Amino acid sequence: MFFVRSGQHVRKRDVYARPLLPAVLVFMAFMVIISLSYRTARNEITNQRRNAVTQNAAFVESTLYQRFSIYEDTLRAANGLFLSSEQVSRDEWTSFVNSLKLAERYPGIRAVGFIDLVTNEEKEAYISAVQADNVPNFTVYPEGERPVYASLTYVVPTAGQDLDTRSSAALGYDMYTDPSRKLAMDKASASGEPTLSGLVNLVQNSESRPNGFLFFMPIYKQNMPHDTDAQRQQALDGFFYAPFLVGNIFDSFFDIEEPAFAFSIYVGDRIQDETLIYESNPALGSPAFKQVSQNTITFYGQKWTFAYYATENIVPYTVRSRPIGVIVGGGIFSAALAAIIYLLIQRRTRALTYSEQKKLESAKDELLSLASHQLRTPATAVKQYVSMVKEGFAGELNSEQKKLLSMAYESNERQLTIVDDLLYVARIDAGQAALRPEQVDVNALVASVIDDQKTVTRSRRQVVSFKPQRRAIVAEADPQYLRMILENLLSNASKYSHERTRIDVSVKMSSGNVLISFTDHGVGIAPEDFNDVFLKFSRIPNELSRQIAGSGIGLYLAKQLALLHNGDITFTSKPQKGSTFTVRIPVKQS
Amino acid sequence: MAKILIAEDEKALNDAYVMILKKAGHTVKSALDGSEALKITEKFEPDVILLDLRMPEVGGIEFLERYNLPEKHPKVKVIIFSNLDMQKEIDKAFKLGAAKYMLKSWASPKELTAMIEAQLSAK
Repeated sequence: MFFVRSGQHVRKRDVYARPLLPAVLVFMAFMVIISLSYRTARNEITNQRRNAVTQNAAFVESTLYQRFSIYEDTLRAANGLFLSSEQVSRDEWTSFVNSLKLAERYPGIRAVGFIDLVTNEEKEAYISAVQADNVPNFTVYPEGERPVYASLTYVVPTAGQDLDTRSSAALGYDMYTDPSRKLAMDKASASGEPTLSGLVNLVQNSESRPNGFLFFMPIYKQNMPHDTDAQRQQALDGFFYAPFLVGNIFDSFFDIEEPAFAFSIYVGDRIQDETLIYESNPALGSPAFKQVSQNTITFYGQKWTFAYYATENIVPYTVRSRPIGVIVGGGIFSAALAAIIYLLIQRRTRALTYSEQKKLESAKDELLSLASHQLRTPATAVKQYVSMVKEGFAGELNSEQKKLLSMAYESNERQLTIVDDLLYVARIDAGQAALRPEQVDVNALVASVIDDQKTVTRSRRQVVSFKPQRRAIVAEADPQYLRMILENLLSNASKYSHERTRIDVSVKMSSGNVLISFTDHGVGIAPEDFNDVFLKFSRIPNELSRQIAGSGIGLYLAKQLALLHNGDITFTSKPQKGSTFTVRIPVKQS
Repeated sequence: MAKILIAEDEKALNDAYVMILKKAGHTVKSALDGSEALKITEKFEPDVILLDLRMPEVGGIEFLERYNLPEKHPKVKVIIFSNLDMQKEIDKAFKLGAAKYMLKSWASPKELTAMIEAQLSAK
C-alpha cells in the first residue's frame, strides 16, 4: 500500500496524444469542405468561360446571318433589275453594281456577276454576241463540247480592288465544269434560294489550296412559273453570283470587345486546316487560346462549322484566383484551427491530468498519514508507560528490571521508526516530501541524537565520541528530516560494529556545507556491494546482519532526505576495518 | 510551576501525559476532545496547551478556530502534539497561532517535559 508508484509520468504521453485525434479530424473535415469549395470554384470558372463564349458565339453567328442577308438582298436587287428590263446591257450591269458601293457597304464581297446558261446549240451565237458587246477576245472555257454551259457573262469587281483584271479574266468561265460550283448552283436552282458553295479555287488562284467560296442566286425566266422543283428546272435562266476570298473577309463584321475570345470558321462539318475560311484573331494559334466549343450550322445550304476559343482572361481574375485562394486560405485556416484545437485540448488535458494527479496524490498522502497515525498511537502509549516505569514512576527498579524494560522500549522504538521510515519513503517516492527548513544548531542536534541512542550504544558497550567545536554551526535544514538522517547513520554505525568498538562523530564546515561524519570500526562493506548500499530494501549480508533487525530502508531514506536538502550522503569503507558515512547539508537552502 | 491543558482523545496517552506532567510539578487539566477542552478554558487559562489534531467531535484545528489564540489568548503556547503528520493540517494549525509541532511518538517523557520547559522559558 505504501509503495504504489506515483502516477507522475504515466499520463505525460496523453497530454500530447489525446488532442491529436480531434485536431486531425477537424482538419480533415475542413479539408473536405475546402476541396468541395475548390471544385465549386473550378466549376464556376468553367461555367463563366462557357457562358462568356456562348454569348460571344451567339453574337458571331447572328452577325454573320445579318451580313449574309444583306448580301442576299443585293443579289435580289440584281434580280429586280433583270426583271424590270428585257435585256440588261453590260454597261447597265456595271453601273448597277457600282451603285451598290460594294467596297464600303458590303465588305467581303469581291465582285458581283451574272452567269448565263447557254446550250451547246446556242454557244456560237452567244460567244459572238458577247464579243460584239465590247469583249473582243471573249470565249467560253474550258474548251470542249457540253450540253449546257454556265458561262460568266458579266462581272464587276469591287471598286479599287486589284481583283479587277482577275475578275475580267474569269469572263466566259463555264462554272458547271467545277463540281463544287455546280453542286451549289444545282442546289440553288432546285430550292430557288441563295446558296453558298463549298471551298473553291477562285479563277487564277495562285495559292495551293482553295481560296474562296461563292454565293449563288438562281434566275428564272420571267414568263415561266417556278413554284416546284420541276418548274424551276424548266424556268432556270442563269445565276447571279458573288465571290468571296478567304482570309480576313469578316474582319469588319465583328466588333468583338473581348480580346480573350476568338473564333474560326470552317466550311463543312469538320475542323481542319484545309477548310478554314476565317480566323478572328491572328494569335489564335498560340497556346493561350483554348477551344471551348464548336457549332456546325447550315448556312445558305452550306455547312459551316464555328470553333470558339478563349484565353483564361475571359474569366475575371477574381473568379480565376478563387480555387487557389480557397486551397491556400482554407488550408491555412484549417491548419490554424486544428492547431488551436490541439493546444486547447492539450491545455485542458494537462490541467485535468495535473489536477487528477494532485487529487490522487493528496488522497494517497492522506491515507498514508492516517494509517501511520493509527500505527503510531498504540506504540506511543507503550513508549510512555515503559518510560514511566523505567523512570521510577512506580517505584525504584533494579538494574535487571531496567535492562528488560530498555529492551521492550527499544523494540517499540524500532517499530515507530519503521512506521516513520515507511511513511517518508512513500512520500519521497511520490514527490510529496516537503522541506520545512529552520535554522538548526547542528552540534546540538548531533548531541541529542547521540544521547537518544545511548541506551542502544551502551548496551553494545560502544563508545560514541563526539567533540563539538566551540563555534556554533548553524544550517538551514528541516530538523525532523535531518534528525532522521543522523539517527539512521548512527544506528547503522552501531549495528554494523562489534561490541566494545568506538564510533567517531564529527561536524565541520566546508565551503558552505556542513559535513557530519560517522566513522565506525565495524564489519565494513565489500567493494562489490558498494552499489547496493543506498538501494531501497537492500540489506547487505554480513556476519552481523543476521542478528540485526532492519527494514532495509534506513540508508535509502537518509540519502533521499539529504538529496531533498540539496545535499548528499557519501561513504568510504573497507571490509573488517569499518566505514565512514558523511552527510553533507548546504548551510543555506536556496 | 505552570498550568497545562491536555487535549488528547486516546485515554491511555491522556492518562500518561497527566501523570508525567503532574510529576514534573505542573498544574494539569485534561480533556478527551476539543469541545471538552473549550469548556475547560472558560474557567482555566493555561500557560501551555498540548493539542492533539485528530479527536472526535471537535478536533485540534476546530479547537484553535474557536479558541481564537491570536486575539483572545495571545500568551498561551499551543503545542500541536499529534501522531498525524499531515502537512496541510500542521500548516493550518500554525496559521491559527500554534507555537510548536511535535510528533507524539517521538517524545519520551523526558523530551515532553523538556519541550514544555523550553516553551515556558521562551516567553
